[in-house]
Amino acid sequence: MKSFVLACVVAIAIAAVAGFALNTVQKPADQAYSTTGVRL
Amino acid sequence: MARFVAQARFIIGALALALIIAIAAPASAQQPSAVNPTAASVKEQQLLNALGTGDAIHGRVTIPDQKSANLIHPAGRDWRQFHEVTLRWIAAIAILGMLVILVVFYLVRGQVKLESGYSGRRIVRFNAFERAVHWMTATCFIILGLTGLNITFGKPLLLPLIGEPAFAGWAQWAKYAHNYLSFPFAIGVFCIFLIWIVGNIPNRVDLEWTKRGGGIVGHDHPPAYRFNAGQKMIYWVVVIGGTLVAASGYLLMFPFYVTDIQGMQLAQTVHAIIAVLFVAVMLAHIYIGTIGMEGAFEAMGEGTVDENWAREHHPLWLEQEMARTGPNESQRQPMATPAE
Amino acid sequence: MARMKFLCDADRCIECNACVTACKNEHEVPWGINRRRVVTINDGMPGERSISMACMHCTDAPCAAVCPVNCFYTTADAVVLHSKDLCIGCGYCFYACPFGAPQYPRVGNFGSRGKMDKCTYCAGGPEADGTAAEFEKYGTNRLAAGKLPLCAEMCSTKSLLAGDGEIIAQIYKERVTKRGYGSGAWGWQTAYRETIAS
Repeated sequence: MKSFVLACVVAIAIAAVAGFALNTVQKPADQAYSTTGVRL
Repeated sequence: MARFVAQARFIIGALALALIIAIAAPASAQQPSAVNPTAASVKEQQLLNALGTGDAIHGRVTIPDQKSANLIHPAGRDWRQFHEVTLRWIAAIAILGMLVILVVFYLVRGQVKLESGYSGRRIVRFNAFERAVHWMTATCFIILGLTGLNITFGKPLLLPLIGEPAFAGWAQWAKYAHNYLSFPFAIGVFCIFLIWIVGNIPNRVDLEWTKRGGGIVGHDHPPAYRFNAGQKMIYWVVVIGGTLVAASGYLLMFPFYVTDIQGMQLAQTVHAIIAVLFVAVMLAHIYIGTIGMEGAFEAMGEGTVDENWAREHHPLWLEQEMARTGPNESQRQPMATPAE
Repeated sequence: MARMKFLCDADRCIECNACVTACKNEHEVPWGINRRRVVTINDGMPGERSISMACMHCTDAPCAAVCPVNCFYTTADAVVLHSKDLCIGCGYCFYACPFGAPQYPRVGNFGSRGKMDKCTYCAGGPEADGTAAEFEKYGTNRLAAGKLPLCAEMCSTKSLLAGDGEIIAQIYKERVTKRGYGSGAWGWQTAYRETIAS
């Protein structure tokens, strides 16, 4: 039982870290497709 | 003097006019001969005819997002057919088919019993780390499988029951869960690959085991090491299938970072087919590890198995373990009451 | 009832992008989202043709078919619209669309690509016609006011036609007959499974 609970906790922790990390990398379209010619 | 200037101006003006007409005349005379841009213009039909499968009519745009430069991409039609029709059939046949096979099998063959009964002596089969990795991967698999099947079957099966707003809310969270739990799942698959590769290399014993029905077809007891041929099959399905499903899934999570739209359609196709077959196979694994075999669940549930169980199903492994720890082994843990 | 369609006469389009500008301005479309775009085939070569492309509002729309949450709907005028409230940003509609019409506010697909945005035929969305809520999400609803899409109205050469399919097909056919050539109604075979015999 202990290993199962530990497994779930670790899974959620890894998922949360991944989510946090990816969201900082996520680019909105207006940034991703801007060029030097574009002034927002 | 003034009259001369006026006359000169008139003559120069007339000459200029004549010059212009002289230049213009030969230019208009050129038109019938050289290029006819209208005849050379592209027609949609000719471009469509020239398209190979998966190609697009491609042009030039001034937009930074170069995906916009594809004008018409008919291949989406085939992908739609696959996703709406073909995939649903494959998934339904594989998953429902497996469920039917398992039910029938249970009714016909019944549970694989521990024929010599419980001895009361236990031996460690999986340590805490192995069990934790297994359960992390397994739990993630269940959630990933259900949320993934929701993408394919949610609309026809669940949406009519709970209505669009509720279903969309559920689907939104399902997608978040699916995308973020993929990380612990992928890490788990990788750990499984590392910790159990040693016991899962196929050998001669597996051939013999399979030929003798594995103890599940019929009532034979062919010997096996730590993992029998059936388990090795599951191992490789998990490692290879898990890797493929993770790789294609990450391509989907980073759309167009690596590949174009055809690649994305292919990634989705691979991801979906591998995933539904994976689910079907795991149903069999879950069956045999729970109700299909007496004394099996404990191995992963609390880590130890009964010695008689080990002797009946994995005698070669039991031998190795006994030899390793010696006759006065500390692993043997007598149990007060036999496990149920 | 009218069956609304778009037709871009490639032989008249001069790539001025008035349609693109009109759409962006009218609906306050954010940067990075391209509801309408002008694609130039054979740029710089004899026979260069430009076509203005946006959602074609297909018959049997593939985007609607593959959407896992069924957020698309077709109006009585055969305009294909969707609900941003239901959209989960999975990106499947883009994989199915032959014209690349769906646009997303986010580039990566972790969790969601954001709410999908596309040409609405200036017909808004599921919110009540003409309300601020509808404008915020989908842009102006011109169709409810009895007007045609602004891109076609603003086209400087009247190459982009919008309106009842029968009427604009007729206009195009007459043009082709009168001038003697036509490169076809681009996208009609893919979107409406029909061609305009010229």
